[in-house]
Amino acid sequence: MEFDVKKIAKSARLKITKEEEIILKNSILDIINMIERLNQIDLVDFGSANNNKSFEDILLQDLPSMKYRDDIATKSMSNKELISNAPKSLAGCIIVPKIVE
Amino acid sequence: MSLNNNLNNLTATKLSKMLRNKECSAVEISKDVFKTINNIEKDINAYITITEEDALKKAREVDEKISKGEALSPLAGIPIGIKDNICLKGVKTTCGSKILSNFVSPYDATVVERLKNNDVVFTGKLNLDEFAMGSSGEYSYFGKTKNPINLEYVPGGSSSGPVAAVAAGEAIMSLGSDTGGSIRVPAAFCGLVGLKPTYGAVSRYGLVALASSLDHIGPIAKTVDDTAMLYRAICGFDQKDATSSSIDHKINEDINNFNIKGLRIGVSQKYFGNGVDKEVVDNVKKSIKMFEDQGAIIKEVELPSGEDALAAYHIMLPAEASSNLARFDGVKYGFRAKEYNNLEEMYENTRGEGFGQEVKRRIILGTFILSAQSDSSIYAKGRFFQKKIISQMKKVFEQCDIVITPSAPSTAFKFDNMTNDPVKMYMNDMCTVFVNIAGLPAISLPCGTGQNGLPIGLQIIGPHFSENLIFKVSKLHENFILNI
Repeated sequence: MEFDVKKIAKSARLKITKEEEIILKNSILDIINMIERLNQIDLVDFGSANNNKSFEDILLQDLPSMKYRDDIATKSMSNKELISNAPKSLAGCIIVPKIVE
Repeated sequence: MSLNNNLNNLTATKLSKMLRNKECSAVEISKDVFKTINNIEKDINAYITITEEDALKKAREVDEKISKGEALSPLAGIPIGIKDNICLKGVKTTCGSKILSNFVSPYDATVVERLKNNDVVFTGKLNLDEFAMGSSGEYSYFGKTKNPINLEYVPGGSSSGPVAAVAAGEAIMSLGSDTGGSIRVPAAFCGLVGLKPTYGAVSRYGLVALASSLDHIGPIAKTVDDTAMLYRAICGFDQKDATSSSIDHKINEDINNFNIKGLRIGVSQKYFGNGVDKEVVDNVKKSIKMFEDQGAIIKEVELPSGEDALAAYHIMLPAEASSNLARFDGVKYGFRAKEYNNLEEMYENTRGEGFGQEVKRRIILGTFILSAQSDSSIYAKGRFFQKKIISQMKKVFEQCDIVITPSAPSTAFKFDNMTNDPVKMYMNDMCTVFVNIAGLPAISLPCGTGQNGLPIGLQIIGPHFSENLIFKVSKLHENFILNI
């Protein structure tokens, strides 16, 4: 399988050095080689038991239903607490670079 | 009071009794723990943050409650360490990463809240492979943790600090997390007991997510009784975790005096052959023989192969991790790169400088798996295979009551042995990942010693929510091992 490690790193918003590019590419190809063994696994018996069902439906079936929280307002964190971990802040706001060009 | 100056080497169960009988004080226990930390922590590196002042304050509080005759939990005054991906309010939660190196938790994880209600003394935050990605304890931004039994060997990961601290007497018990074996493999490497509970048994609220469909929090301790005691304090439904179960965990059930006669134990040759060291196989088989001698019925069952499970795991895990770790962007919390010209560069440089190599590897692989560039069926195949493992294990538990395998294919290895070969490193989890994929409970127990003098681990797996049965069988095993 071919893959462009630089392009993928870019879409993951991850800067990698030239050195890392080589190390990561080789090791990821090893891992892809390892996971490709699933291609040999016969999923037909699994599929035939799920006639005409979409992939999403098959994945969702038998999943225990989750309990949701009651839809009532509860006490949440104060602005001060929320901001306390921000790398840069001013007057209760987080400072970021200009987002509109 | 007591003249015993090695309180930190005793079990929580024993210390709890001593506290009740006023044979020692909570402050004395904590002081012994911190004395040991001060003496050996520079060699072990189990901790990222040590909270001595808060701990001693809490210990004094417990002593006061005892002197007033207040009814207390058996965990009251027991020094416990927390893996540094679980939030403890007001204390740093770094996940062993530069990107969270300055992050202070603004809230408590549910497990921490529950332990606080039990008057536990928190010793600090424990080292781990960065974002719990690793099985040797070598991938932390804060340096590698060493195996207290032999400092030349890894303690196992990713809960490296939680096991090293307990094994070295730097904490009485600890909480770890397990996504593919991260409690059981290190527990095996350090000769401890470690439980990965059933998916949904313990709330993950306040655990920094790696792969949400595989992540679990669980206890690590020296004995089965201690492990059960800590598990019982943290399990149960939590409104803040939508995947947590409201089942009754029957936490008062007695785990002693279990009669194993007629219990069906499933074993699979797949885990006693290729890829597993002979000394591991021999020791685990010896334990199985002991169960058989006591009347258990041994049955060959068809388990998923470790290699297939690892393949499915390394599709699901990076896919989920790449999505979970997208939140670390240097905006709202954590580290932010110094140099950038625009928003995009701020993201890229922050993440590029903030994450270590193993984390980058998994983010890139996960992004690839979920991208249009990959064979679009690859993620689907991983999920299908998960379904297949779940239904296969359902069938297995129709034929037997518990399953026994080794916890890891070998004993602990030396440092730098596998760090350049990720696929080889991933094989350390070959006995444990299918258990996470199926969401089953499993425990690792010490069962003998390898030629290098390091412990061997045995894994007992049960059906969903069978923790009590696992504890009962584990206690029998513990008594057997102690009497050899």
